[in-house]
Amino acid sequence: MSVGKIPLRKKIAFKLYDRYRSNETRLHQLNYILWESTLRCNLNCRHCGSDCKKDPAQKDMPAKDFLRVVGEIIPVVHPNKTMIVFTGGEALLRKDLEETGQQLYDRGFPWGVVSNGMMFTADRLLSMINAGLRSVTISLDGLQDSHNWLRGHPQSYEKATNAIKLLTKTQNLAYDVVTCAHSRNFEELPEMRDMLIAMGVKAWRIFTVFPIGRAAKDQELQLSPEDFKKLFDFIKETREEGKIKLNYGCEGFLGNYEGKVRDNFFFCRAGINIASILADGSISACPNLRENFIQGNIYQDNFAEVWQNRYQKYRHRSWTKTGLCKDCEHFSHCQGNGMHLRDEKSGELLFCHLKRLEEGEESLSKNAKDKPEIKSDVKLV
Amino acid sequence: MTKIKKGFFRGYNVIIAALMSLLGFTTACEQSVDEYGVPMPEYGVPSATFIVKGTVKSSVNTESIPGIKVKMIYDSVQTDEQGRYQVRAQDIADSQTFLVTFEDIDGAENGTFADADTNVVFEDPQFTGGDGNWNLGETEKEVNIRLKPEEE
Repeated sequence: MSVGKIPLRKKIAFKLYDRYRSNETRLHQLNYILWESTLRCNLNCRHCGSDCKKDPAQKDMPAKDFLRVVGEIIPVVHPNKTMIVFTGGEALLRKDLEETGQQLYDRGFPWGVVSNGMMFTADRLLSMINAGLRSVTISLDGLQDSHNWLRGHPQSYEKATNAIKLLTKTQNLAYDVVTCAHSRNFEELPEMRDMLIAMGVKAWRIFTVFPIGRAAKDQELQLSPEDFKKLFDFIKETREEGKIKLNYGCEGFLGNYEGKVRDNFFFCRAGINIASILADGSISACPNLRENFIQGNIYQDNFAEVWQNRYQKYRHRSWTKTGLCKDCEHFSHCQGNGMHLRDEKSGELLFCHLKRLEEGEESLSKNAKDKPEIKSDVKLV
Repeated sequence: MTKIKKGFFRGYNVIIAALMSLLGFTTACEQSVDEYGVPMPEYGVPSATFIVKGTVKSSVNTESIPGIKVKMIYDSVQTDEQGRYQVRAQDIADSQTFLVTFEDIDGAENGTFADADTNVVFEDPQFTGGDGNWNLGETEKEVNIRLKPEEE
């Protein structure tokens, strides 16, 4: 499949979706809040995008502070339609997770958790479900060796797969598995797919490592342009097969792969529908948006006022039309890629998915052409 | 932003969703375009279909009223000859409340009735037919309405 050859039908759909995106931006209805509930973590992942510190003394935000903020936002959201997701660090390290979740549930908010599975037991799951848990995401970054390598813990794979097994046996709970594709697990993805299908997993998401956090300094985590292109062919084929619902993560305009590798066209909803409360009280859009992307702090500002009146950087993205984006013909569909892929200080683009796909396509095509013709001495008689 | 403006942009996006649907990109917008623009972002949101169905009859003689427009969020239908209707909405799979409106839009034909509306509450709904994924399936409620005839 060629990334650049976009059929007319899809081009028209892109134009329509541009308008849809613009309308959504004007409405900017908040319906997704991520709470970086702790910076403590029981793993030491190579690719971690947040500022996780393996320091048990690191102070968590008191739950009452977060609940106060949730109270502030109620006038501008519809609680039943606003998902609150506990992230970290490792959210399950919070002992008051269920208590806090129950208070959210009592106020009408559905809530979910993202976990590495290390502390995920049947009892803990039941305890969270009883407190109104609605969705779970478990990270699984390869088969045993590559997962443990990335996660820096010899039992992390076993714990994560045990968590997934528990979830497959749980009724009425939405869950999915999320995988970071990198150079070490790339070849394993087909085997991983078959394993997840055999386990009964219905939803799987793949994202690629982006150059922030610890991953910025680790080239081993990046996929080559050729593998990057092959990854999208793999996702497309898996989706067409229909045995598991595989989606690429919510980043990057992908040219002709749009509509083929995830349910919806690319739309970075950071600051448009999504907000985050970070561990230090900072108000942001996604948890990996820090520094200049911070819009306020819950200890100085009213969250609802911040949501209604700030976030200009997210809602008027013409400032991203610089550098690589300046002359890009797809800017209106992409709007400068996901906000987390802009440098936190300079705002410059760190990674262009489309460009990487084009490089991969070109390289694969060149390799095919350069391949020497195999001549046989055998002649048909 | 005023309610009228919000309504305009939401309505506009419904039209876009319909056009994209014609182009074969139905999933893209339908998952995202219900009343409050529930997205399918990085961590997903469990969703479900909420169905409200029933009959519309006259409050005076209990006769069925055809041609009444019934609307719930963006879905609207007209009652059939037996006064029956069914409307649906996609939303987060949790307790929900929907405003359903009933409007006489065919003038004197089939009689003239006063408009009415009601809040339909789904409290801890049970869903069936989910795909084992983010879509938890559907749930339904029966709401039978009596409309008051308007004086000539």
